[in-house]
Amino acid sequence: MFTDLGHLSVIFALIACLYAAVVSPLGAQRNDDRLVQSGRLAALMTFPLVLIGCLGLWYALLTHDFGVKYVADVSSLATPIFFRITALWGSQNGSILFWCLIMSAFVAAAMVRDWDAAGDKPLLPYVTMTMALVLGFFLFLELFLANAFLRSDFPPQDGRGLNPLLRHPGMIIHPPMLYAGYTGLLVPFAFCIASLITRRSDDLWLRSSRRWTLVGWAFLTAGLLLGGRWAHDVLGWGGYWGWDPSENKPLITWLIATPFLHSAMIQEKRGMFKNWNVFLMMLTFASMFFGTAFIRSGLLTSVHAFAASDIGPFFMGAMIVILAACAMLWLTRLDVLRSENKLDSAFSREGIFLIQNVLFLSTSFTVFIGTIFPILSEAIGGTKITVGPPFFDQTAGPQMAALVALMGMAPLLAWGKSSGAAVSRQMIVPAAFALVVMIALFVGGANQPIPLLLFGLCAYTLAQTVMEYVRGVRARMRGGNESVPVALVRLAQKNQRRYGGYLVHLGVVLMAIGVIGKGFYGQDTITTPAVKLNESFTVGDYTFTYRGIRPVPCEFNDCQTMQAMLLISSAGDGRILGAAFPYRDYYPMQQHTATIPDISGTFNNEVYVILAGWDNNGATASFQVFINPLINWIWVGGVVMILGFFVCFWKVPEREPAAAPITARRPAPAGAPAK
Amino acid sequence: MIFAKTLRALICALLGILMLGWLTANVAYAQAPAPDEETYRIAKQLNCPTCAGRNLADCPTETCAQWKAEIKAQLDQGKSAQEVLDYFQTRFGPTVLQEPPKSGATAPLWAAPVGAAIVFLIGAGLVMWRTSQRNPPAAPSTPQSEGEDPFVAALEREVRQSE
Amino acid sequence: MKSKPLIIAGALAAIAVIAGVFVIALNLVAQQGARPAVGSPAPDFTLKLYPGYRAGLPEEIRLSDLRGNVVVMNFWASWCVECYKEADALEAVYRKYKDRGVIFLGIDYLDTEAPALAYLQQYNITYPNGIDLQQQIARAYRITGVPETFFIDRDGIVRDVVIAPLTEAQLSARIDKMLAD
Repeated sequence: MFTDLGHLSVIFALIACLYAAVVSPLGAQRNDDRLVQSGRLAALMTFPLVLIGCLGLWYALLTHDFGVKYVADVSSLATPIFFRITALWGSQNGSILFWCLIMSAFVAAAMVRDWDAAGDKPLLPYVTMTMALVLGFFLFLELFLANAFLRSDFPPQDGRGLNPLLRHPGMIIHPPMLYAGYTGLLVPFAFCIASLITRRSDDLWLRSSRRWTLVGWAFLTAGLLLGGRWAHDVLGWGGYWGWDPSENKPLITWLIATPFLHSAMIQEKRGMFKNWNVFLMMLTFASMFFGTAFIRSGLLTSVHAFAASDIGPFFMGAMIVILAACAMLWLTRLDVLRSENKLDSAFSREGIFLIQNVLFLSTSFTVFIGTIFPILSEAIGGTKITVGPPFFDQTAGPQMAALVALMGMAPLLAWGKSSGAAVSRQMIVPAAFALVVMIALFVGGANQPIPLLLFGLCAYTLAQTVMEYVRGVRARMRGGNESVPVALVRLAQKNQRRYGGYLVHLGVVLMAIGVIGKGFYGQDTITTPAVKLNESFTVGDYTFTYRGIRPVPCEFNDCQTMQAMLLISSAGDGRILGAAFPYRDYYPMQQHTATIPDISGTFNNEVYVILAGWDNNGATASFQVFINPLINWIWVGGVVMILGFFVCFWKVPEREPAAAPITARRPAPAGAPAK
Repeated sequence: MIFAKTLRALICALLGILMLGWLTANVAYAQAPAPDEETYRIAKQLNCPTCAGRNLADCPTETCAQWKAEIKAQLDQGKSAQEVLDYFQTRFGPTVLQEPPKSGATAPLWAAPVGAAIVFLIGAGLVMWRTSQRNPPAAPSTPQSEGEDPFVAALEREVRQSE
Repeated sequence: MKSKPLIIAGALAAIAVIAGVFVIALNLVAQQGARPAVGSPAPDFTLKLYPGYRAGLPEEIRLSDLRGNVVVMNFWASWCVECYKEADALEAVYRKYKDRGVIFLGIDYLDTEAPALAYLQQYNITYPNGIDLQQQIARAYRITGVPETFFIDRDGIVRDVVIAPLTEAQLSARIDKMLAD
């Protein structure tokens, strides 16, 4: 009964969306604020309504109501309570409902915000309309093409159980993070559309939605990182990224949202590139929509393959409508969006941001073309080509390296025009540091030219970014009597976006170090022929001795586990270093085997062991071993990136009126707080 | 003109980085430390026939074991790695390769990123040129203070101004 | 603005491209679902036969060359555990009907030569078997795995599709029906 109530609630949410989408712009046209507020309230109500819907489905899950088809698909009597809750987004239909929940949360948050104080009331009706339309689309999709509330005529006694791959913490939190990232980016898009519709030529939409963009971007980043961590811990591939279509889709969106974050700064500081920002925002949204469409309609088989359903044509139609509407809207506003300033010099922050933007876009395009090429090749030529990691490593890799290089250049360039001499002077110390690092690495044995160069690049950018903090702290200390820590904190407080941004850059460099280490110095092998009991084999600096295999109790009650034991010793001197216990979970219900690696080793040298197979009750076994140098820097870098986000985002209480932007050519709008 | 020179220099430098990256990425691949087993290395370049998105080397199924045995058998016969890969491609189609061939039908796939990067960079250059032509040149934005590094001076001004 | 027509053209082109991609892609998905239905003509193909498993046929045969015969097409693989169950039945029924204008074709799917030949030897198979080069036959018949068996009558029409191992009785019943027409 509660579940059906939930279903009804979601229907009401759709009605509320349609109402808001019609009434708000109507109110704007007729200058009737009551209509606008009514629409706003309706949009706000979508969140509690969708929440009730989710609660209804959760109720069905928690009470084992297998009459609901979805519940039978994603849970069983054996599923523990915690997983019954997370099973809500375990499969297609439920995950669309969950997506709607998160989207409606953002819609409600946008509606609840104090529009009067923010000074952007004129945009409200159209922000409401846009968000309501998009949310309405997904609610419609859920209710009519992917209904999680469908009941079956003959309820089974027991369900199928949750997909074993989804029973890992990384996989549980990864979809909510990604969904929050995607839906968070809906807010700036709505502001953009609203600004276009109201024929505004200023950067109000950028300033108002700036924090939302940051939030969406941060969630997307976190989602990507968590996905990588999950793949590493549970999928047993020895790596963290497989260039799988469903991994590439959020990456493509991220590669468009990140340059947008940067170029938005150009518009705010110098009133330039307005058209470009509109284009980037629309492209971000398009990539989000297109990505969701691709994955959910099952067009490309991937590691997380959702079942193919009829939602493909529906998405396609919506995509065309959205693209046409956006294009029309933008093209009719081109003259309104002329730049206020000219580009003084390419050798400036604007210049390098533009180059960075196009580099990000070309990387994004590279990943995109690699992802859709198999479909294109099959449609045009008949043969299905597989585009595996080697393609992406060789094409996207160098572009990303170039972006790291740009990160090390950009802080040196000022707005407007930079002096070549001053910039070169500031490069001396980091370049010297990079050289020292490269020499040290070379002497230490790293003699391959490419990774050496790349490490040098990372060292340079790292030093450059740290120097930014040093310079800032020194400048502060020259002005007052502050100690270094206090100066550092005050520096960050007064220039949150800049120094938070530099922290994110720092995180990126740390990740790059991990990527280079694992990518160029990783070793992996498989034991052929299989290893006999008490026999040893060597990989890199480690010797592994196979000690046996035995069944152990499985984590869940619907699987069987076989666990192997290996002794790890140093290949050089035979010192015992530890033991490895890789195992295999077999789930008879889903006919699925999960290969869980044993991860050990030192921080800088990860030892990753997989049980590949066994014979004769364990008389022989075969193992796949990966040595992953520096891979942990990827996770450290990721955490630093998120810390950087918090530095940018955290609202510092203002004691004095907000400062004007530093080198702005235009006075700051009166009364607008730095939001 | 100084502008034209710096613009050119910047674009050349970036193209240089990109080109260097592209050329050397292939070299890097050849120089990556190879695991002991040649079979394993070749298997890594093939796709698992029965699972989606995994390479042959990582795959534990019976089919994959047979394919790996075939690779080993051919290597023992003295075939080269390329010959083994060609055999698999002829027998099972190009879908079995992890890396699409750089020539033939998949050449556009490899050309696309390079092409896109070049086109985009040229586009950026054009945009920069056009936006610089729009208005008469304005006064330099960072007035220099005497005897001080203009960069640090600007930074100090920024820091003080934000208090 | 001077560049407006260009931008409009570009935008429309982009939309057309994306729409085109989607149409193509969805077409593919639709295609992937449609297997040669019972009653429709069997797609023609070329099969390269294994040495020793030609049963008097040329090295490369086309399905259309066999018109006038009843054809039983069986997709199999040496790693396919379910296929072991029907191997004996297939060979036995083949021998029973081979002088009555019934041809069995074994189509080896995703298999390497040595294990395939070993499998054929193990089950004493004598009917024609060949490798499905580049998986073209498998794709044309939209098979979802192995074993799959297609029954094609004398006029080249698909009369039955079975996605499971078959027994002698089941095979004989279907062949008798096609021979009776």
